Amino acid sequence: MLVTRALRHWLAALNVGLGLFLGGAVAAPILARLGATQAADALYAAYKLTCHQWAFRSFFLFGQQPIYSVQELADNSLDPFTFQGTQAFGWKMAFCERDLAIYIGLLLVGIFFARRRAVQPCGFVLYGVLILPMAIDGFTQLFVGAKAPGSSVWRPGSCSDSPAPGWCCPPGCRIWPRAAIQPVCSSHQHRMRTTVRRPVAARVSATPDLLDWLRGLVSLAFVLLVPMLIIAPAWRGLVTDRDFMLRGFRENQVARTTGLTIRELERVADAFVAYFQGPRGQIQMQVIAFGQPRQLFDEKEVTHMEDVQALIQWFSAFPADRGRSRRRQTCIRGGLRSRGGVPRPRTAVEHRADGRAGRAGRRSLPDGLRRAVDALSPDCVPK
Amino acid sequence: MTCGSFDPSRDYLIMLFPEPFWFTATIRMATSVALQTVLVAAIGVG
Repeated sequence: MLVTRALRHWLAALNVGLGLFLGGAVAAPILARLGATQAADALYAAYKLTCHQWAFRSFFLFGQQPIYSVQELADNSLDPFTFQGTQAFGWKMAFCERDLAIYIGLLLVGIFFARRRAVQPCGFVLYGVLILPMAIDGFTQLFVGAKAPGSSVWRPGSCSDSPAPGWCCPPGCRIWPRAAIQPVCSSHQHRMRTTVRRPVAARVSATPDLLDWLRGLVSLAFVLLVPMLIIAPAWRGLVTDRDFMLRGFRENQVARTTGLTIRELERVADAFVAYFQGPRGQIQMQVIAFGQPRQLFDEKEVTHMEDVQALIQWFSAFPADRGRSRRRQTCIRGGLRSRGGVPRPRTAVEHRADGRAGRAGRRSLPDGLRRAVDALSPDCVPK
Repeated sequence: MTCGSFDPSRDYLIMLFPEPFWFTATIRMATSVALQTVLVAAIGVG
């Protein structure tokens, strides 16, 4: 199957995809130059989903120069934002200079990694340092991008330095003309329409005020929150999916490598599901491997799983979950202890409380979790 | 050959969850996130 093959060769697929994406951005100005304007417009429209395509931040091909400033574009009555190109000026690429650098960088690293697969991961610290310039660039644009794109040329407006004669703006404001085609109906009777080019106000902005900063912060919060809201449920669904674990055990022939029976592996899957949803603690199980009883994990693995549990629960935690049945958690906790994994003794009060809460709580549990509790906790099995 | 600080021939944790398992998990996670992103984008554009 094509998708499966592409996933197996994910690096090749990624590199080819990046190459095609870059090629499309270059193809747009080439097609425009060749006169295939419809195809070029279609590409520009498609890439608009990925980039603002501002003309003064994009490279131009086949023109007098590769880049144009806002000033240069405005001097020629061209919209610095939406101008695509002409024979004289050339045509801009379908995404901006920054995107070009990002995608070329991704492709180069992808090709490098394809040739040197033994290269070691760089670690989060170095990754953070390397990605910092892009992060700063993107982050600061939340606050200043809407106000002063191309800040070197967006000057405070005044009657004297206004780019268009006769333009004036209040003190502290910035104003920039946008060339626009304004239809002027000269005569409705004769159905004649005359189109004239004249500058109209495109963006007027005051100096940054509290509202702007607030808007920036809300934007930032939204940008950070949406990915979390998307990723966290997917993550939680993955780590609590018993059937996914069992399928993984089957496909990777874990029964053969570990010597555990299918029944034992089901218990292991149940234990993991319960562990990731339960309170902080340790996971340990007594299993029969190759016919011999043994503890499933050694001390190092148990410690590692504590970190994993903390990470998973931090990442997928939601207030709604925290408020969910405490009885369920109590029940699972008791089960984990009863398997001997956690040597901490319980008090008599705790034991009674766990038993009561466990029996009461178990009846209200969904089937999957009840199975997990049964596997872990004899305390919770109704007497 | 050890995998990090774990030995795949001895440690049960990594025997239970070998590399192919994580490959499949990553694909599933990425697919899920991509679908939800498309959904959110569609809602946002619409």
